[in-house]
Amino acid sequence: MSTRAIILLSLLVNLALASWAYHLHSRRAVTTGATTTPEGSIHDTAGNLVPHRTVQVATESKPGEFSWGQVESADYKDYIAKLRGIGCPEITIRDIILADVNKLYAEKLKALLPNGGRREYWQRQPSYYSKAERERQENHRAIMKEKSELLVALLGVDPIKVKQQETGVVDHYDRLLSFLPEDKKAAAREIHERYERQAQKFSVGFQDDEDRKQVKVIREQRLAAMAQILTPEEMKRYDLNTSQVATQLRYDLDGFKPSQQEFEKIYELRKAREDDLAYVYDQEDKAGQEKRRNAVTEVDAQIKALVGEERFAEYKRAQEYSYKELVRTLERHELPEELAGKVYEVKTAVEENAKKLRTDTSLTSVQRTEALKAMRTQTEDFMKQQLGEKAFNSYKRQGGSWLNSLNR
Amino acid sequence: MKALLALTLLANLALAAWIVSELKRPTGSADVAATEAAARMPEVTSGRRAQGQATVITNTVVSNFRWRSVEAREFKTYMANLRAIGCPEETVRDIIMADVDRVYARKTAGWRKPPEELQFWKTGNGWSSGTRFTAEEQKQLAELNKEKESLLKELLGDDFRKDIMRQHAYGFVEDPYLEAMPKEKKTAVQEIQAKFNEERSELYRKAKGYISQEDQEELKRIAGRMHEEMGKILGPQELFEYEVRTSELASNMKYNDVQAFDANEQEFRAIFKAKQEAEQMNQAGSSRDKDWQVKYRAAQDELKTALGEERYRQYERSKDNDYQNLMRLTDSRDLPRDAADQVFQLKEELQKAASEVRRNKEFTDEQRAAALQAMRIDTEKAAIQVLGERNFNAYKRNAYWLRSLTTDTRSTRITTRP
Repeated sequence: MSTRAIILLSLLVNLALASWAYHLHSRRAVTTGATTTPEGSIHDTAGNLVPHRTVQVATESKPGEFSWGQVESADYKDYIAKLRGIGCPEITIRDIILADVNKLYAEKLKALLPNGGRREYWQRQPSYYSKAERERQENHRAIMKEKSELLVALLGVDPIKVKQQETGVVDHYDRLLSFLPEDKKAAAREIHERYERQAQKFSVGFQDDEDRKQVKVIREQRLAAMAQILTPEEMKRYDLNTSQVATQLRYDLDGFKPSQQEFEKIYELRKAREDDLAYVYDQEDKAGQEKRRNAVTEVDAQIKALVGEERFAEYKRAQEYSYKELVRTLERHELPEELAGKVYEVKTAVEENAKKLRTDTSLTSVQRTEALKAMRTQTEDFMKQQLGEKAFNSYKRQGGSWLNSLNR
Repeated sequence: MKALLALTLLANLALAAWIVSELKRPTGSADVAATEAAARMPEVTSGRRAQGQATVITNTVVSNFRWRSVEAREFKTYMANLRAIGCPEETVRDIIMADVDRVYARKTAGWRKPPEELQFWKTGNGWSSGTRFTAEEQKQLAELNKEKESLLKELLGDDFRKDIMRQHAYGFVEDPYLEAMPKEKKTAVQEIQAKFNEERSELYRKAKGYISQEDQEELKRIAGRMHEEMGKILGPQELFEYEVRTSELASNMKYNDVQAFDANEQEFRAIFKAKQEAEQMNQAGSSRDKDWQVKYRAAQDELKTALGEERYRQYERSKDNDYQNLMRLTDSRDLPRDAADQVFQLKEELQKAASEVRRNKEFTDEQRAAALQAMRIDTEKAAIQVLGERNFNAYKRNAYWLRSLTTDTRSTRITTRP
């Protein structure tokens, strides 16, 4: 081959290599422009691509040097893969992605609020009862759910939930359903929340009979749906954890300290008469009030037969406002809970004596007044001694109206 | 000729070398293999990123650059290293915030016991889902929070709270007045606020969700002490401007006093001023003697002048429990708020007319009862016209003003059926 031919060939190779080099340079400029959307891109619930929030890269890449622009991508999965590619620790990847996703969704949440969340300092809070606010809360919940799902799709876990677990905060619904095996929890939660949201539409503000009927129908639908996935034993526990009857019973029995067995038995009795025991809201519905009073008397008799005289007295006592306040005062002032029984025994005896004094015809009006006054002073002194001045004064204001009534 | 040949060959070699080096550089494309990093997650043990601890193994080497080369024992060095590789400032702040947060979370991890397993027969606070700390732990936690905030401030500057807000969609827009406050004053005021917030938190912690009248008084006392301390930093007008925007009293007003009133800015400020003065008078410890009453009336007169007669009347109405109930009804059932005004007017007219009937000595008891009953029925019909039958029946059980009008025990369930 002549020298001329070799030179020609070499020039052709020059050209080929130069165009390759140009191509490589151009491609790099495109890829660092962070516009790729490889397979596995994340879509929101509406099917739209969820783009990574692109942030301004601070410095330009110099040939041969690493620059952040090389890991930035408009697509979260790509971004994560590139961060992993440079050995970024998984925990830091979580931090970066979580902050980014938080900001992305903070904008969505802001968009739900009137005026983009800008509220002047003098403007009232949106009414909790308003339809607009309830709709906003519903949308808020949907956005938070979407955010959680996106985080799980990107990172395998929802770091917000992980953090809650690490800090000892347990999701209320997770706790309610904690008795269920893992494979049933998610489905049960979905059913519970779905029907609860439906019922809420009829529970906010003022309920009429029609609303109450609707709530009842939705509850029955919820229980039927739940029964499809839970065993009868699990259903029983679900009811004990979540039903209105059980919730009311837990409130009523605060201070009674029921055993598991006592609770279950009282629960069964009340559950069987649930409709009859339901609070009658219409004060003018005298027949309804009467029916409820009778049901209370009948169920009380059953409970008394079940738990015995002494425990039944404690059961009734636990439901009295002045006793509940006493228990709360003792707890608040870190006093022994046994004092509640002791003080209440005195209350019962004193009230009984006051009743006798009021009907004692052998006393003059002045004598009666003096005797009742002395009784009240003695009782207050006793209570101060037992509770201490501070706790006594606190109790007297909250639940001590019976003391004022002693000498009236 | 030979020289030309040598030149083209050299050019080929140079181009080939450049191409090879370029091919070795990461391209930023999606061919970076996912790693098993999750399974080998490095631990940040002390809050300072220990050099050489990041032992992530990747399957595909894409660059000579490794993350560990930016990690450092000191946060400040770590931040400088991140900036040096062009990591955007926003991302640097995100990384540092999360890192600092984790360090402090670990310091308290031992105290954070998950709540007891749910036992359906347990009553009271056993049903709370949050961690409960002992008083001592709470105290230490407050100290650690202070330390954490101080570190974040040192690393990220005064604005670190805005980073948190940006991530959580609250505190969206800072008030222009607060934004423009001189930095030193703002910092001092924030410190005072933080101190008293701790006192409030302690009270709420002890209250376990039940705020008694006594607690409410204590909260007012805390607000009073905070007001005094703030007064040492801010002038009277500055203090007013700060409190009308940030105080608990102002916040409560938005849920209560102006919830059914829709105050404009000037009205809100006037109501706030009157309420704050009344609270300060109550806290001064003086009994409600003549002097107290004179001052109170003066404050109310000032408010009446500021609002004007008609708006003052509307403000007083907005505090009425029946009016608030009507507002809840109209809000929850998507009725115009004007409907609440109309029904409330019916109430006022009814009460006035009923009062006259009760005073009228020419009536026998039966006639009086019949007259009151007739008035009640007329009012209920008028209310149905305004609210609709179903809405009225939902409201009626809360309308004590209607029930108390008559002693008649007959049910007055209203239907419009012919």
